[in-house]
Amino acid sequence: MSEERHALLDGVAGLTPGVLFLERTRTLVAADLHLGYEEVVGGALPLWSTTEQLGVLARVAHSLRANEVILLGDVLHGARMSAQAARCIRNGLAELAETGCAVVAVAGNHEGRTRGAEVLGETVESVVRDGWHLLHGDRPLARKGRAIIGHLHPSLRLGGSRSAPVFLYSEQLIVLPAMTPYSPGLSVLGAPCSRALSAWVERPGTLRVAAISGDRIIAFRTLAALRAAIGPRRK
Amino acid sequence: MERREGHGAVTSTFSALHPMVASWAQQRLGCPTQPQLAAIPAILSGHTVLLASPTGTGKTLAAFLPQFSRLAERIDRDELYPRPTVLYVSPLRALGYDVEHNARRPLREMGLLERPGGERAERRRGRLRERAIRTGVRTGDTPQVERRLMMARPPHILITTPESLALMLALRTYRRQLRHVECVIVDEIHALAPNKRGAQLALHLESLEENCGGRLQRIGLSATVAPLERVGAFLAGVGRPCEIIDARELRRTTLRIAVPFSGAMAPMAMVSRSVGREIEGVRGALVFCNVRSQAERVAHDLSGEGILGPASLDPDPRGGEDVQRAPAAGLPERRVGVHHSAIERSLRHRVEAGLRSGELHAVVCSSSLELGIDVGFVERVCIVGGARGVAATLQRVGRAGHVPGGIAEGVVVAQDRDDIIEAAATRRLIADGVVEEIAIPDRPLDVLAQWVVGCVVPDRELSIQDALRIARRALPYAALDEADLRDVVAYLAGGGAGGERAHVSRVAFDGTVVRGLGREAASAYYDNAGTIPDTVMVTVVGKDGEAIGRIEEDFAHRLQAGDAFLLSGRSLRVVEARGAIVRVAPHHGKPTVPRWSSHMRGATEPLAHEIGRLRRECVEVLRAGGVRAAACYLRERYGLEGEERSHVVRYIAQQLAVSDVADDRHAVVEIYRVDGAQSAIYHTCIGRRVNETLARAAAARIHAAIGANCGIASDDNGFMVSLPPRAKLADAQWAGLLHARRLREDVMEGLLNSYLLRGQFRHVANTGLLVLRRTGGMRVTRQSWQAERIFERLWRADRRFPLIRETVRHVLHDLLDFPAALRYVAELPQELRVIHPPAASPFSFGIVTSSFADTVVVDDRATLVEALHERILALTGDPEAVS
Repeated sequence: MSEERHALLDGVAGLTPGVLFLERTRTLVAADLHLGYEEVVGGALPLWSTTEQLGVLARVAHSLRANEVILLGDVLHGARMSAQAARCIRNGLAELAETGCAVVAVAGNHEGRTRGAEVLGETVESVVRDGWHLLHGDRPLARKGRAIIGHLHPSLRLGGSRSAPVFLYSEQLIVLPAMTPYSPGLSVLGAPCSRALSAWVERPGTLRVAAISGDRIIAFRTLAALRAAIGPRRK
Repeated sequence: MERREGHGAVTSTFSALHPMVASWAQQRLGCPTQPQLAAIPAILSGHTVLLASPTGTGKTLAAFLPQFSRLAERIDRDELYPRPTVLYVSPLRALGYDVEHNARRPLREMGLLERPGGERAERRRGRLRERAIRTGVRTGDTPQVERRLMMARPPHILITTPESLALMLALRTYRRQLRHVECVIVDEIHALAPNKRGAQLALHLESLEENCGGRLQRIGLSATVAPLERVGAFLAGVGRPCEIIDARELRRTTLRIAVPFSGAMAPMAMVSRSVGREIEGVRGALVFCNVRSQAERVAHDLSGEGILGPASLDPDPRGGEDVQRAPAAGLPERRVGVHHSAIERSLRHRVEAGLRSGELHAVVCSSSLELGIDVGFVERVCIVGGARGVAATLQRVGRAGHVPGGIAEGVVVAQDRDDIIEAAATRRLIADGVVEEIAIPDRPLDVLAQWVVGCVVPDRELSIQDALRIARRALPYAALDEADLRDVVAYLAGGGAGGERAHVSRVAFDGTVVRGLGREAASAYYDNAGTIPDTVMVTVVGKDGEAIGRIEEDFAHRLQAGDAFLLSGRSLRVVEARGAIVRVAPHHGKPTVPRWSSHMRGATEPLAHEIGRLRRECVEVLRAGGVRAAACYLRERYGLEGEERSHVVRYIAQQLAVSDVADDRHAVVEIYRVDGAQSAIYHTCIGRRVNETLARAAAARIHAAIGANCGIASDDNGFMVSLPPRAKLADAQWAGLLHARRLREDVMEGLLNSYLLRGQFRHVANTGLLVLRRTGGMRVTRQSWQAERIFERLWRADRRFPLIRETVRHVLHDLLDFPAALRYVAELPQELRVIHPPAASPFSFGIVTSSFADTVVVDDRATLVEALHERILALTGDPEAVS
């Protein structure tokens, strides 16, 4: 299976598994993997999402000849898991590194900032690549600048539990969709999403939207335009 | 299995008891009731006994008097030791406290009850002997202090629930105490046998039997239920005898029908007024509604309209004070309470107490008060709409006149003409002594998984052969396959699914013996034992942050900004739904999201059949002899008179004028075209569960044929399939849609995209300990685990996974009724009769308006039905008045 690549901005591409590629430094960015999910929620289930997501990342990193993979926070769903599960995740991350790229884990709220260290090793609060600040997004950016964040799990809700993950982007801010298959996401048309976004950009409505639908990326216009077209009608 | 009819020697019944017990009984009870007459000797002889009789016939005492007698004899023989010998299991915690109260009073009066700080155990011959009887309640509500006390001084009569019994059997100290149990009484067994709690109890009764060395006397107490042999086998276990005492017909039950409307349907306010008239001046009234939102609405109307006075028990927990006393200027201070399962437990208890003490004049409830909690003196029972079954009707009406020998009278307040027919059919079935057959779940694997874990925690072992032997004695598992048990154990031992292992196991398994994995792993069991889904409530708040009410988490989870729904009779629009709070604003217009629809009860098979018979025979008589003959028939067979009878005749005549009448033997398809969209209504008259099954298959077949996604709606009388605009099927396609070929596959296809299957998976996964409700002392919230998505993943990985199979079984057999659907379509003629009525036919009013599935405010529904009725009247003219 090959991934569809869609140019979001100059030098920045979105790919169908919901990852971002910064072309100048050949950096692959993936947010909110929530590895270990099946077990952290108390399940006696195989860690499907761990093996599958890390497998996809390794494949994409290889085909793009990426120099580096940045995991943009909430790499783990939680720190409470069995020793075997922790080993499974560590092995998966090691295999990813074996494809020849550096793996950098950014801290997220789900790791409890530092408690995940046992599994993830050292994490960083933020890094800078291609002139962008990369951070999880649960805390504001200390300096002024362009940011790439995760955390919000932006999506278009399609009714029931079905949803399509989306990228939100502008020259100032890129929000990555969650890579985990288990999150229905936060509706980009709702007030909570707008509120969260307004901490990052002055007018969230001007952000552009690209949705992932199966093996395609569908680009829409701005969030404001989308909301006007299909959002909740107000009386 | 023997059957013993209720007669015997009156005088000798009590005299067979210990003198202290006998003299109390003779003084206080005088004559034994019929059930006591038959049951006491049978119980004294040590047999396993199932006693079926209506509420208020002295059932509980019939079971307890022989126990008191035996304990008194032990005191005489100086053989009363501090340990439980009698175990009483009830499905309701509240019932447990009631029963303890009711057992202590006679014991106290007999002088057998241990007084606090009074007589103490005496040490004689080196062993602890006691002179008086203790009772104790151990449920999930029992505080730690009391549990410790109970450990130190175990009660002789221990009262508990199936869930607490399961927990106690998994704990060493309790297990040791329970080794001496000689008799277990299962109360309200009819409420346990047909569901997973019953399956769990059946397994744990076998565990208890093993623990006691196989000499347990079992006593089952049941309200009206059938067949008694099946319930008896459920109680006794496979291959053990059970003596059945059938005193079911002891109480006369009458059913009256109140018809408040003159057209086709009553708006809610009219229904409430009619209920108000029925309970005016009555000392204690119970009003049963079929859906919770309706219960809230009726209670609101009753207290708001001043029919019963100005104040009400408000379900809203704001301010902490549940009883709001408005100044009652000149009006008698009378109040109405609401009781349903979505109302907080403490508040529910207060409502029960309020009715008992007479403080509350009436309580409006859902099915939550059907079970036998003592609600004091109830003079009148009202059923809004209908109870959708004979057993449920008897159970509800049986709450009235709760004294032995009293006649139970109930009133059905009909909302529409179908309700009149349902009530008439129910009355006929009651008179004929027909009661629905109870269905016992067939080998639910989630409960089995939990039981296996319970048998080995924390560090015991159980061979697979022993597990099989013990489980097969429990009736729900009589046909358990070794392969199924092994699949379950393999999963519990971390076998995973689809070739991938899990890293977490609940047990260890070496191919022959299952072993516990120690204290830490055992906490998964101790924290999660039970089969009742947690109902977690989410608060609904208005714009200014004021609490408006609460809704179930399951429902809240499906809401999105912009959705409109009903709460306490108000229409609300969701502004924001996240976490434990849903923020709303008032909404002017129709709700867009259905509420409670999954809780709606369908008519049972015999009732649906009787309704079909009424329709068929009425049509035959109407065709042969006209209106007068039909009226005669309805009076003779169904006791229908006056206005209610005219309604039924007119209803059927109108239907015949524009379409045809479907009955228990013939289905009719009506095709409509509204705003360019085609829809079909299948009139089947076979009950909601079957109709819902067929509707899903029909939708899947249409999708396969023309690629269209259609909407479905179903009720007791039929189902509707609506095509999207521009899609179209020919008459022959509609007529041939219901066939038996690949029915199961098509129903499954229709279910896979539905919420029903995924939502149920959540509960099955919880019960089967696949995903825990609580872990590490914390509740796993809806937010943090996506049952729907895990279901999808597991379905892809392994459809044979035991808990996937259980989810499918539960949905197809317990919630829907696949076997009955298959039987029904197999007997249908090849092609159904297709009709294009000139206007919506009267029989379709219900389904046409319910196709908005509760989304339409009930008052709007009534308006809509009346509008449809006007059109029919314009087309057919009013058939002459009949009386």
